[in-house]
Amino acid sequence: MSEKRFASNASIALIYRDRAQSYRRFVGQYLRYVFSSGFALLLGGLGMAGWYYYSGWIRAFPADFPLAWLALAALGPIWAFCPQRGYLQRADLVFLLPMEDRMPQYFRPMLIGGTVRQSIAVLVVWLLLYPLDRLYEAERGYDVNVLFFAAAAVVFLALKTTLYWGAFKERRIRSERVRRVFQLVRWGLAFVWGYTFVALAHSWWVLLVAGTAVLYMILLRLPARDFVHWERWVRLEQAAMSRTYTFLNAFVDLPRDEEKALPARSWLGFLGDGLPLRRERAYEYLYIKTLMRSDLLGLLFRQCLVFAALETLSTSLWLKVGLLAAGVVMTGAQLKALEREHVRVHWVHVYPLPEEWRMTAAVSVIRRAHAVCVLVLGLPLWWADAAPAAPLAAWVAGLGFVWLSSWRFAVRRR
Amino acid sequence: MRAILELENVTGGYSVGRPVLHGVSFSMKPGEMVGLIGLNGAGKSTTLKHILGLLTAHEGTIRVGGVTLQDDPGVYRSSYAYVPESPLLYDELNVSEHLRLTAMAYGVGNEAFEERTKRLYKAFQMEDKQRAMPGHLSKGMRQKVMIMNAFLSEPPLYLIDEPFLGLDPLGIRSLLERMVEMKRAGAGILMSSHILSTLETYCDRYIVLHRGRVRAQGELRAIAESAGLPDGRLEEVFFRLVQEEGSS
Repeated sequence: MSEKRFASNASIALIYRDRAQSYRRFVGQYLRYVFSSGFALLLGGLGMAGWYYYSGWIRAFPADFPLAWLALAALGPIWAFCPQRGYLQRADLVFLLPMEDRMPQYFRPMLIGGTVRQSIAVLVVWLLLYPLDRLYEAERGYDVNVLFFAAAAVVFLALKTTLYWGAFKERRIRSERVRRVFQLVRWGLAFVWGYTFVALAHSWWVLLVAGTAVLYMILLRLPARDFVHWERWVRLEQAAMSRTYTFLNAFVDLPRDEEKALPARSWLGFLGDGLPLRRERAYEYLYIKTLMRSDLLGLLFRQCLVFAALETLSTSLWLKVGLLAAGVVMTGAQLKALEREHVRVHWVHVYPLPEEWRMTAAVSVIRRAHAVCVLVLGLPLWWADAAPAAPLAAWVAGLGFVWLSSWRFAVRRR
Repeated sequence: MRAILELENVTGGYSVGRPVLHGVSFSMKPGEMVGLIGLNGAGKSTTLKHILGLLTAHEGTIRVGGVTLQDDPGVYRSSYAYVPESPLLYDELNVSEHLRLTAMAYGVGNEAFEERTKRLYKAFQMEDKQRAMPGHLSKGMRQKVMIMNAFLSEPPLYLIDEPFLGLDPLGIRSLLERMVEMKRAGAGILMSSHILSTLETYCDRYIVLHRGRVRAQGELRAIAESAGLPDGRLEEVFFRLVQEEGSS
């Protein structure tokens, strides 16, 4: 009996491994398109430029640098961000639901693999932060040695594991509102831990994190929860696949037939609503709404934010301009994926609208969204110590690039 | 009166070597409600896909509003509204935005749009779902959105494929009332369904498809006579027609 049970548990874990492997195979077959597009080169260039800038910065580390805020910005997200791929599908509501009691075995590879991968990310961030912390503490007369590095790494990994398990338990909470509160608590804790790591004496910090982590784990036991919240796992999987498609679609044209549960983003609902009820504006309306609700918007927002932050932090005007250019190229590449939306949708062949209107509308929406990205990416140049002509010129050049690339894109697609 | 829909000797399907439809011919006049009936795989949905222009006929001609799709795609496509068997909605648009997009595509004016949407929301009890995204709607509600979109544009022809699946009783009643209203206003309605009792109550004529061919067509009395059941109900007539063919 026990042997049979063991075999069943092993097979349910195998389902997870098979699905994870299929996903890796699916993404893997398109990676060559991603790399051949110059994306890897761009990432490599950015990495090298970042490293060059970082090592130069360490050498001239300003004594009054607010390291606590940097620790908050670097450690907070890496602790709080706990992606978990369950690969659960709608059909599992029929086929796996009867085996619910064995689902912990299904999730085990995810939990172990996820903890290991994310712990490595924490260690990388700590490795980058450590030299700065050492300089910062030395300024204040404290000696920070390798033993401290190792001890801190152990605590950091314990905190990561706590939040990772917390995120897993969050997914079981029945009420959506309560789950959101716990999500907020997880992010809040991570930011507080990051900031206080530098701001507090180490002994006090250890007490604080130990106390709050225990309290967090106790609080997580309180809300009503399901053994497995199936619907939520399915929704999360759909969202994750949707993000994968959005990313890959920027480099290769992928068919996409699955149904998506997209966020309403009602705060952006006004976009497009002012368009007149005219046939020639119908596709424009469709593409504005698509951009507004797609993963692409989040992706663009994050890209703009990262590049704008890097521009703000960099001291050289040329580096700022280089980052601006990289940001403009990357956001443009991502935006092109918008045109591939609705190409295979049944309805565009049923509506009484000519196909060429679809293309024109898509390019027009892409152009306007890209122009907004250029304006946002150029903003940090305005508060740099440079003549006003420089940011103005950057904006004009960026908008010129947008116009030219959208024109070339439209010509190629025709 | 000029036919709103005409199929002349249409042979077609998904591949030229294996046609699904074989010489299908029928026509519809404005103000007519026609039931398209047949067993699973008889070719009902394939017929509708040919009319929609999603499939191209290997032979024969299809005219909507007197024109073929090749003659004038604009006139052809704006002459009908389609309700598919499974609701097909844009994941990116909420309910009210779907209606707005349809109004734009069919060139419905502002005033008509306001008046019609208000009426449709009320008729299908969807007033509180205007901002809902498709992912958060039940199948029945999604079907209601499809139906509302079809009725919003008020075209001369409605192509309706299995509209009752997933609809609640009130939704079915609202749909039937709206169809009768549109029929009285002069629209043609081609409806495919397996609910024969409802078709019998509401349709003026029937087209019985069997194995891709028109087995019988006309008013109930005409097809009943051709089945050898002069006083038969639609269900009995239909069974006789498809069983006769099957056993022959």
